[in-house]
This record gives sequence, C-alpha cells and structure tokens, in this order.
Amino acid sequence: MMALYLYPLLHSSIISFKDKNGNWNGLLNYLQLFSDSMFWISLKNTVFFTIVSVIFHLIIGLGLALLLNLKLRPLVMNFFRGVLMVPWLLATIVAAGIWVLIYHPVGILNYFFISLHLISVPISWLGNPKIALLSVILVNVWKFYPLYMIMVLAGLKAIPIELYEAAKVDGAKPYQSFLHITLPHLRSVIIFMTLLDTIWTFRHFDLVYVMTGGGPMYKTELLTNYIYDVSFRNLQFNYGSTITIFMLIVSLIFSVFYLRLYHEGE
Amino acid sequence: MDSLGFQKRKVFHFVIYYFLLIVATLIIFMPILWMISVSLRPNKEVLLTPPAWIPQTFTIEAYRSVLINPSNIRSFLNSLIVSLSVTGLSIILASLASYGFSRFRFRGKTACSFFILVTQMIPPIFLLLPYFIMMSRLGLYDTYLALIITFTSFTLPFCTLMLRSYFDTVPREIDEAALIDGCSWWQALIRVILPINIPAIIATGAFAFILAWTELLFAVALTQSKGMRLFTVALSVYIGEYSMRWNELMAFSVLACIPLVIGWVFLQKYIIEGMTAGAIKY
Repeated sequence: MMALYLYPLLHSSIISFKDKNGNWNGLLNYLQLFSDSMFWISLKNTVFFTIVSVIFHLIIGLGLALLLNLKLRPLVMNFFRGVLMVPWLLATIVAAGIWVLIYHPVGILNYFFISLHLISVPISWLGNPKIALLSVILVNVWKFYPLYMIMVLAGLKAIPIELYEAAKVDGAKPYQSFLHITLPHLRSVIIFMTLLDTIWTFRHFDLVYVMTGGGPMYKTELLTNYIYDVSFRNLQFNYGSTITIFMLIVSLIFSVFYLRLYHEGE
Repeated sequence: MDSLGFQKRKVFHFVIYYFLLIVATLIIFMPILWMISVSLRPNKEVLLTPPAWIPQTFTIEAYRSVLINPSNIRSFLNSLIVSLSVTGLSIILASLASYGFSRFRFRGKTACSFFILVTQMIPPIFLLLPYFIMMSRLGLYDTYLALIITFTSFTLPFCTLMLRSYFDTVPREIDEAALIDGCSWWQALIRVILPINIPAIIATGAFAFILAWTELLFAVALTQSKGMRLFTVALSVYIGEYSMRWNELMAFSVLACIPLVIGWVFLQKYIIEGMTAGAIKY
C-alpha cells in the first residue's frame, strides 16, 4: 500500500519539474502557475465552492442533529436518521443525474419558482454563468451534509444528561444550556469535521465533471477539473502534476491542523 | 391553571418540533421521490407543465428497457464483482494492519500511522495519472484487477483507522489469555479478536463497499472496453447522451441505489457506530 501511494507521490513530484519532452526545466512549470489565468479562475471557484459548501454542511448538519436529538422515541429517531442519511448513500453520479433533471429549464424547480411568482422566466440553473456554481454547490450541500449530521448527533449523545438537569435546576433557560453546555461539548467534533470536510470538499471532482463539465465560461471549473482537463484533454501531464502538487501542499497545510487535533484527541 | 399552561406549551413545542422535522425530511427527500416517480412513467410525461407528482400513466417500461440491455446488466455485475472483492480484501488487509498497529511495537510505527493519515489528505486526482501509467505498464489496464487494487488502496487507510480504534478498546488481557492457552498470534486474531469485533467489521466492510460502489473517476480512467464498464460509467454515458431518456436514467439510478439501501436498512446501526466511533473520542 505504501508503494501505491509513494510511487505516485514521487512520480508526480519529479515530472512536475520537467517539460513536455522530459527535460528538466526547474521551476518553470511552477512559475507558469502565476501567469495562468485559468489556474487562478479555478482556484477562486474552488475556494468559493469549498467555503460555501462547508458552511452550509455545518449549518444544516448541526440543525438537523439538534432536531433529531430532542426527545424522540428510538424507533422514530432511527427512522428519520436513516431517511436523512440517504443522500449520502447515493453515488455522486446518481445525485448528479437527479439534479440535472430537477434543474432542467422546464423541470420542477423552475415550475416551482414560477408558480410562486418568484421568477417570471425559467432560469437555466446550470447554464447561467452567475448561478451555475451555486447550483452545483446546492447539490454538494444536499449530498454531503449527512456526515456532519451523524457526527454531531454522536457528539450530542455523548453529553451527559445530568448536565442539562443540573442547569434546569439552576434555572437556566434552554438557549442558555445550549450556549453553555451543548456548544462547548460539540466544539471539538465541529472543528474536527470542519477540517476534514474542508479537505474533502477542496478535492471534490465528480459533481462538476458530470453536471457542467466546468462550464458555462469556466464558472464552475474547480482545480481538480482543471487538472483533469490539463492532463487528460490537453495531455500536458507535467503541468497537470505541477497543479496537483500545489493542491497537495494546500491540503497538507490543512492536514497539519487536523493531525494536531487528532493527536490531542489521543 | 399553571400546570395546564405548561401542558399546553409542551404540546405546542411537540407539534412545532415534529412539524420542523417532517418538513425538513420532506424537502431533503423530495429529489429522491422525484427520481422514483419519474422512473415509473413514460418519457413524454417527464417534463410536463405543470409537473405531476404521481405519474398519469403508471408503467415499468423504463425498468424493462434498462434491464433488457445486456451491457447494463453487465455493468451491474462488474460493479458487484469489483465492490465485493474490494470489500473482502479491505476487511482482510485492514484487520491484519489494525491488529499489528494495535498490538505490536515496531520500528516506524508512528511514521506508518502518520502516513496512513496523510493518505486521507491526498486529492484522488493526484493519483489518477500515476495509477493509469502503473496499470498500463503492469498490463492491468482495463481489467478487474486494476479497479480492485485501486479502490482497495482508497478504502484501506480509512478502514484501518476505523478498525484500529475498535481493536484498541479490546483489553490486551483477552488475547494474552489466548496466547497462554497456546494460540499463535494469528489464531488469537482469528479466533478471539475478530469474533468480538463483528460489528466493527461489518461497518468497515460496508464502508468499503459504499466507496467502491459509487466510485466514478477511476472507473472511467482505468477501463476502456464496454464489457469492463462499471454501472457508474454506464450512467455517466446515459447522462452525457444528447437525446435524454430521463425515465430510463432514473430507473437505472433507482436500480443502482437498491443494494445500498437494502444494506443500509439492515446495517445502519453498525455503520453509524463505526463512523462515529472516532469522533466521540474528542
């Protein structure tokens, strides 16, 4: 297994310093990054994609976990938890297929908004440069919030119930016990999940690949999709490796924080 | 009077709370209901205005045309073969690795476990090209083996982390007792440690299966012939086609979800336990 990861690591690092003909060209590929506008566009998209997705994963996951944690019978809780996890189970390609149909110009989403008189003309959700990225983000949020939900739920279940009872005896209002008991206990789960989720979302590929192919006008092109295009469409493997090394370094910076937390936990 | 007010408030809270939960669940589940509904109607009813939630003509024609196509069946079988192999391989290798991590002291143990964590951070796209080259050179391009090796290398790190946290909770005295009774390490693992951790193993296996079953990118890159297509690749071909047969696409999707949903219904408890075991530590 070491070989399966080390070989790619070494291989990519080496060829990222070479030109198309296999000659060493030092840092030239890395310098090219700075002048490559497509690289900056996809970096900007990726950062936006990651931040917005992670924030919504957190809000929705936290909200639903809190709802599920209120006094429910175990059977009912299990039912709702099971149903709410389903988006996470779907293959990304299946989720993409469903949403491409929902986003269809004469699909149900447009019909819904038109019948509410919120819009008058159908919106091309995946074709409009201004909202295409947001549309993809919505699918990402829908698909990946469940991870947060169950992690936070597990964290909530681990809080001793006596704490709440003690707070109640002391006359604390519900929101006060939320602020002073629930949130501090969830702090580490939330930080842990946010870091992990940031790393995962940062390297996401499938949704854009299937739903928009990076368009319209590169507004949804993420770094991973750009790497794919550079390497497999334009066959510039060396430059593709350069961008991957850049991504890896960014991921590793996040990982340092993650690992530090992990070891604190141990 | 006061207690009556309290009662009323309690009922009020109860209603609000269930209302929120049900509305949230409906909104989130809507796309899935729509998928099922579309799969059960003729294609000309898919993009009606206004859309009908219940198909006007109820038909399983879409399922029939998906299942009648031998290459679709083949892609399902391929996915099944690959995913089950990955699951089996992951369980075996992850058990061995976690047992080693959990019970033995050896040189570079910290470095190894650090390395396993780091693999979780590497963007998969990073591995695409090297794997492609590696598999071509080994003559494995476009074979089951290429997919199985690749997917296992993705599932293994997480499975090892997951199993290890379970193995660590088993007191050492238990396997020491087995060793004193004359078991080898190997027997201690198979006869003692694994049977205690069946739920953890189920969770690990389920996780590996889900990952292998839903993988797309590498399945596209490492296979070429129609006979080697996984269902995810077959689906992406459906989506990419110009003339959209939405009902068939959705029927295909529903079929693809069935193994996961069945597994989910029965194994939900274990999977969630396994996934969250690490998080509760904090």
